[in-house]
Amino acid sequence: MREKHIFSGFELSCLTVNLIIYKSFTDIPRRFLEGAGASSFLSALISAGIAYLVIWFLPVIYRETKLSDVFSSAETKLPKGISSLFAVIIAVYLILSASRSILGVSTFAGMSAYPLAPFVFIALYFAFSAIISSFRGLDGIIRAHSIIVPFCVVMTLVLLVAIFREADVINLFPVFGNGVYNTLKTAVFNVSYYFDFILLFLLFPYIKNDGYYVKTIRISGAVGILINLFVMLSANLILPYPVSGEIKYPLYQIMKSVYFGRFFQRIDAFYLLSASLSGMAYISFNIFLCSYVLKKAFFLSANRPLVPLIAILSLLFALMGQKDIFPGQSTVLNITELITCFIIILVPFLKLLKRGDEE
Amino acid sequence: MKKIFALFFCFCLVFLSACYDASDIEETAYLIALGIDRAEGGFLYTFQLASPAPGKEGGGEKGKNSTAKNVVIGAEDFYTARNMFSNYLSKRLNMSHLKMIVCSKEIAETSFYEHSQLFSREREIRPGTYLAVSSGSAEEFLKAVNPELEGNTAKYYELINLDRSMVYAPPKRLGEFLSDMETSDGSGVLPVARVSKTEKSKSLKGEEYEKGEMVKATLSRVSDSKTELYGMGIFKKGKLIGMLDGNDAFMYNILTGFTENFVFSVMSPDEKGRTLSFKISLDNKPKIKASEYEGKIRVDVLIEGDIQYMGIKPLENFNGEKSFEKIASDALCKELKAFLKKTASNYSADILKTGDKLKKYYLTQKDFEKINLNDKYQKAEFFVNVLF
Repeated sequence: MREKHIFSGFELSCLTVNLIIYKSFTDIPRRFLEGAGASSFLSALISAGIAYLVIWFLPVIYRETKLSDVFSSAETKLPKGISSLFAVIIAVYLILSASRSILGVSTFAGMSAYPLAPFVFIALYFAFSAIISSFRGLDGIIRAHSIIVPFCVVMTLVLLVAIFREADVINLFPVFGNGVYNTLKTAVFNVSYYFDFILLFLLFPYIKNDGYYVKTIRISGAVGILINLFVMLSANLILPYPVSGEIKYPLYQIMKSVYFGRFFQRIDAFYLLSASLSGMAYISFNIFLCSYVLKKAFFLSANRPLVPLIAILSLLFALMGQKDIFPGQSTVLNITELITCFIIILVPFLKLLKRGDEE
Repeated sequence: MKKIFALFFCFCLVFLSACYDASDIEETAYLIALGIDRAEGGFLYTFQLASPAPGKEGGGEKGKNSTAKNVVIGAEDFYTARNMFSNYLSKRLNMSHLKMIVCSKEIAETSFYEHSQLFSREREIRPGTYLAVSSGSAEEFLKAVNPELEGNTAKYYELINLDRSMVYAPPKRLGEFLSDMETSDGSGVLPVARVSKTEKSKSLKGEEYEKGEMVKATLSRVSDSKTELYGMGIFKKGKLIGMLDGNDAFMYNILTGFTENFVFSVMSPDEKGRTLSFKISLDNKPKIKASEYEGKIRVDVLIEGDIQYMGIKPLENFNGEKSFEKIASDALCKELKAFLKKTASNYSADILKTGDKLKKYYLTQKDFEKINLNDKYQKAEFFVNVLF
């Protein structure tokens, strides 16, 4: 693995887009439909606005502070050893997030394609693939993203356009669905629908801390957010409330109605393929990133030996999630997700404070 | 090292090739239609399966459908019946080619909605599967299906439901039906599937029409095919509340936009016994607007299209005062209005989802639910305008 591989604009775009859109293939869009009712698109739009504000300003702050390493910069203003704590929290989030994705992708694949196969077999397949790709390093993961993401984006958009004949504008009304409070609450609590792009800022040795990445992240972030919004709009237009909030994997359910005439039937299989590929790309990236974060924070000589360990942990948590053995798992995931976002946003401000003190 | 790694990877693939879900075509029984009837203490399920070796040309029994086999199983629920099916047949049941689900009137009045919900959650059943209510027993209907012109029964179900020239029944898919049941009013329709009892052509005498009235369809069996889709059942909150004939279904199809091109016949306004036929092509889907006016719901329907008189005798300035466009539009307006009024006052069923159009005047779902749409729709006023 080359330590100083610099992403091209296209590679960075594909990574950013996948970090945002992979959640569309999971059960997360249902949270909007369930919480906000007929105003789920409005709610998703508000979340998107918040997320885009962060996408707009955060890269500029990182560029202006010339911050290239989150962990060492954290210790400039905070006590020594804090970077290790940060790394552990981020690692916990990444492992739980990977486990959520393994669980989501495996459940989805099991439900739609392999109903008789035991869950553990399907989960093993995804975990095993993730180990192989993470073991090969970031180069392979990024290259895979460059191929997979355009395919997933094009397929999803084509299928969504085909399904639009089922849309009924009246499903967007009443404008505030379950009420103004519920619409706003759903928007704020589910802003994480767009937020995994923030993990990019942990990868600074691979991203040139220069002007190009600001523009790239802004544009690709906007593309990712627009795709997620389009997904939410389709779900909102096609599924009437209250049935919309009761359907698991809403995007898959609406994709089953894709109809290109009698000759092209069961086109929704492409959706299954896109969802699996996007999920697998995310899981691989996630496991690699977790090993990389631990290596950085604990000054390890290599991150490869950590990869199987992280993958096995993720798999175990996914199996626990499926059997509901540890009910607090999603709460821990949400809390660590929040802290991870907080750390990544906070660190450049610490550096600014340090610079102010020096001046 | 790389070669060993690649070999190990290929070896692993053998164990990850979904052997659990392997499905051989020779070991699979493909369900093409399902019938649900009431039985004592449970249900009677008719599984209509695609015949593995159809003998249409090869000596199949005359008058019998050789492209499908029927298996009837009585059970307390669908899954028990499905399990029992596995005990009966050596093949594995596959429902991914299911084209039509038919239920009896009795089932439609009680538990068809629950069955539909269950089917919509079933992985193999598509939301595009067509539904129908049988006027008699579903088993009788499925057993009587004997496609005349198609090579196989599955294709017959698909084509008959896709055919836009079928005006006397409204084809409905599983996804659409469930979506209808989830609207604020919870009303919807399903086509009526029935077995014709008439052995000879029915006489058309006795139908007395007013001058300028729409000519209605009366059933007349002319072929060996015994089964037909004619009329529609009205559902409210998941239960069948009434059945309407094919002429009402015709009006429903026009209002939903399913029927865009059709021939419309009216009795001549000045010559008794003479019919005038018009070819009508609608420009767009009918525009239906709903509004609240002095505590009442007002529904405005606007239909625009082109009309062509299908006769030899020129009809300009017909009867000295009425143009043929006016004759047709008056007759159509009258029928559409009567149909809307009937569904509203007799059944209180908003089958065109017009009540949902009022949602835009409210800010939240709670506010909308307060208006008591059900009662208001019963007293709704309808204004239909047909422009040619």
